[in-house]
Amino acid sequence: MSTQGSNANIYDSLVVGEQLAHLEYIVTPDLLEEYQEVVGYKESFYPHIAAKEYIEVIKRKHVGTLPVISAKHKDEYYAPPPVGKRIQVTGWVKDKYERRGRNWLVVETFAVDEDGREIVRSEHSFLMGGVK
Amino acid sequence: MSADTNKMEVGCQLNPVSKTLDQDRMDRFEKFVRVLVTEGEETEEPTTIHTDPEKAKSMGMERPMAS
Repeated sequence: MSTQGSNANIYDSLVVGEQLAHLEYIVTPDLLEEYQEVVGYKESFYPHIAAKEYIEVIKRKHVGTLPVISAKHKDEYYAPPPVGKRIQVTGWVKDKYERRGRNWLVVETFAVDEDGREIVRSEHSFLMGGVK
Repeated sequence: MSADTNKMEVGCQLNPVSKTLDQDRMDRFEKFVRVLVTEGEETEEPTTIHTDPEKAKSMGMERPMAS
């Protein structure tokens, strides 16, 4: 975990290629049922989108503020997360760059289940600082 | 709702989907992030641009937006 102050902007301390936090969670039958009801789609199987793995892998490692707007989200789905099995997520900083005077951050995550089966790979691009 | 993907051809028109979102549904969606909280290490529920009007305004939006 970073030693920076709680008001520091996390973006400044992120390094391209940096390994982020490791996450684990279990999709229970109740959780999946509630997720399907909330999104209004009874056949949905990927609550990771709501769990926001891509931002959590940062917040679990760095203390500070991270004012961002999601700009782009790309997923590759391999298999639905099996209910009752532990899902393990790793994440890293894929890119940081400046374009048109704004800072951008790209984070990639990869999730497998406890048997090593690939679940989903996500790439998420963030615009720092919000809408102007 | 389901679709027989075997009968789909490239270029086929898909049926439109329309949903009405309200703050309650957005709040419930955002709560799913709590599945990642380790038991015994629970923290205060964070406010986000999806759930908090003030936070949304600070990021240049008129109101909370769905994620």
